Amino acid sequence: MKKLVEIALGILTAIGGFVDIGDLVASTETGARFGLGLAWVLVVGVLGIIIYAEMAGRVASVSGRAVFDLVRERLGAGVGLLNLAASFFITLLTLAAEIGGVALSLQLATSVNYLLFVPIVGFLVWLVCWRVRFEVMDNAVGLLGLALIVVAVAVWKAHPQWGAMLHSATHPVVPRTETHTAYWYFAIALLGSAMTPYEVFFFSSGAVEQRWTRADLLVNRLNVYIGFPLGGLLALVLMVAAALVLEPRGIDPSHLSQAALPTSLILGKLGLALALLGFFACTSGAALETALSCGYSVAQYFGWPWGKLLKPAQAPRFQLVVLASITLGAGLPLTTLDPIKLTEYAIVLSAAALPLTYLPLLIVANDPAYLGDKVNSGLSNAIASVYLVVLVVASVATIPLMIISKAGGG
Amino acid sequence: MTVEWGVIAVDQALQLPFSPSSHHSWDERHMTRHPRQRSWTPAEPTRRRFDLAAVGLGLLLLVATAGCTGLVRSDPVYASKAATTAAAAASAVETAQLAVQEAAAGKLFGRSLAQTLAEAASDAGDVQATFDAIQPPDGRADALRDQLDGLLTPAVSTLDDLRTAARRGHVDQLPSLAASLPRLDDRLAQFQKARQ
Amino acid sequence: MARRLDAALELLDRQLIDSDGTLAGKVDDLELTDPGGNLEQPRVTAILSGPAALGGRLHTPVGRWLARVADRLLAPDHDQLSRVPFDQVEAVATDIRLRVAAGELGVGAGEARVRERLIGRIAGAAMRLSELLGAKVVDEHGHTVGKVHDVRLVQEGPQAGGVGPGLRVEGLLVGRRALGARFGFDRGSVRGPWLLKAVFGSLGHDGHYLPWGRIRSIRARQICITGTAGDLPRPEPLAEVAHHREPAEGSWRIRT
Repeated sequence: MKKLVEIALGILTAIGGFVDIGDLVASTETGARFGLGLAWVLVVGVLGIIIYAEMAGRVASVSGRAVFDLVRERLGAGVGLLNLAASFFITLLTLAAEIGGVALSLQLATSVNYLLFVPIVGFLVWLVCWRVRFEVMDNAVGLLGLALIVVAVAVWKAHPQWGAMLHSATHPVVPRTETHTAYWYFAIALLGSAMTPYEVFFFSSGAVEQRWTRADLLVNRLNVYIGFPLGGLLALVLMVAAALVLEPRGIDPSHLSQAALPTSLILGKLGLALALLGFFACTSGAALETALSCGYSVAQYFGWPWGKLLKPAQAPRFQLVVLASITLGAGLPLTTLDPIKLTEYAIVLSAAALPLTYLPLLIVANDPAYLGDKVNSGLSNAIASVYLVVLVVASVATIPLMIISKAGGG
Repeated sequence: MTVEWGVIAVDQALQLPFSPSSHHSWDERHMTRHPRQRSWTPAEPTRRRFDLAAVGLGLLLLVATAGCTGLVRSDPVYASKAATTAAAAASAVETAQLAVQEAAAGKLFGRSLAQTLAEAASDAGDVQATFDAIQPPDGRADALRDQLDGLLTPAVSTLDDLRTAARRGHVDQLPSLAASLPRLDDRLAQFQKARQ
Repeated sequence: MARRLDAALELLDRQLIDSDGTLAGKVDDLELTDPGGNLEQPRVTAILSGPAALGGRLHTPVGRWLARVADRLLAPDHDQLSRVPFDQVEAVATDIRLRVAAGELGVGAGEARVRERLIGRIAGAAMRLSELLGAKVVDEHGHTVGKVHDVRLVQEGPQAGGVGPGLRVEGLLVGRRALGARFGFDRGSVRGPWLLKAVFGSLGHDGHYLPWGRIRSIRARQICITGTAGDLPRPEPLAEVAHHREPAEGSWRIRT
């Protein structure tokens, strides 16, 4: 019975914790600008993260080592440092975006300027990382994030024409008001929002901290195969909601307030309240995850003791890196850089850096020295390799597309 | 502590070309080590890495300035900028309309309503300010600018009024204040279509 | 049959775990010394760890700058290792287990010695593994043979800690196979994704094995050898050593 509760909790937190500010912004914006024309990218992205997250969980369970730990072993100190620099920078950018996102959700609920919330949010994120137990933190924000289900309810209640929607999703067409370069730029951004690198670091480090072993492989698979698709579904309904309400009106969302309009239109104040709670929970959860991931990646590269479960005195440098990351992450929105713009850059640069994370992971997942007989099967290798090729292509295309499409501005 | 970091970092960076290294040679006969002079000799690849870094930085700067506006030299480019401005303004106007519609039906909290309208108003204002900052290249573009401004100015002022009313909690006044928005929206949409 | 292993592939960048199960840094470099004093038979005598060692290994100015900054700022505390004598090693597997707790090794002293060895004059015949890696190998006619991408060690001689006989440098692996070899794709046991094996595996199979005895001199990261490249043998593939150890065995998991 206890095991069942544990599994259910794992799945629910995986669902509620899937969406972050990147998914929020990417899904809403692509839904409003392209209708369901980019829905397929979301499906591709969610499938990709499922495959690689399962691998990361398996590596952590069987070898007892987290992903970034093994990046240096496999790539060497020099290339590993480059990888660390890029991953750390992008995770930091994402952290800044998430802290901005939390502040924006609070602004939307209270009408108080978000800049006033940023330092408070930063402090609270640090306090939770410092003091609160890992499971409590993980479960609390994950479950609260389930409030976003209200958006799915709203879409259902709107009685859209499912057939027409399915048709437009499977026959994507670039709208007349958009360019092809903007379409592909947003495709890459959407891919980056679904397949965030920090998710892999966090997932595997969390598995090591919670001392998963071979016996937990099934739980790992259930979490990933059930939790992640349903979480991805939440990102998809955000896109559908925007396509249903914002696109016909020609609203191009650049604020969180516009992202909440579809839900409040269909479900009123209750819907709005739950949507705001959902936004707050998702971004807070992601802020915690990215802050810890910053610490995990640096500590794992240098081999320092790391982990939320260790007392701060036992892992001083890890805690120092987390503190410094949160400080920098809170500092960035305070420069009045728009958090939404920050999010867009974070997800696009994430997309560009994806091969850096996934290539070492794929290599390690095939090494019997770490995984014994639990190495990748031929099928998962085949799918993962295809994904790697796609990611490399997307990564190479990112900067040119960004320049040509003027960061999607067109 | 940050200052200390900074000072030490700069200090170390400056020392680089002159910093010590282990540069030893082995004597053929004795295979013994003779410590030689102290100098780090960076290997070849670092020069290439510096170049790569410079290119990377350049690219980053290019990307960062990708959205900047400036002097526009030709008519079609100006027309397309006018079209995108109209689209952005229409988006803000539609957002305000939707918010007012929801508020009238009691679907929005006062604070969220105020926030939404404030953001729509500031978007419209920013869009107009950015557009007006571009120099029209010729007389025809001048006329275009006047025409668009003729739509933007009332839109911005209406949205400002809506923002103020929402902030003061006068939700019942909003529908009447927003009465002119649908027509403005239509005209902005027509303007955009004509110059797409 | 004495066990052989390649230092860069199997020792460098591995996690150090002390006797309490605490993570204690990574193997950033190895100290090679010859008790005879003339480097004819260098042995691995210590593991070097920490920012000073890492900085010495990274050949880019940025890397070294980072290391020096870290070195000045991060005061050595009880769990930060600098120099671990090789006889304190309990086992070598996918990670390196030590016999003692990190604190017992007296870090302060180790720190100072490492600083001395890396930055100042070195007393006695000792060098670091990183001085060999990436060094250019030149034959007696002045032709470049290639760059050293790994160092082959053989386990023989006096006991060293828990690993049994200590490690002696047998020869150098010279060639261009760095990337695929690092990923382990040339080893038979890594079945690997077909795509990656095809891409990385085929990157240059022109490696040579350079026995240590053929080295005439080493100076300024250039190794001169007797004879020519032509009479250097191909490297032997190493026997597979099963490193896999289940985490459930317990004692080395990170402690809470």
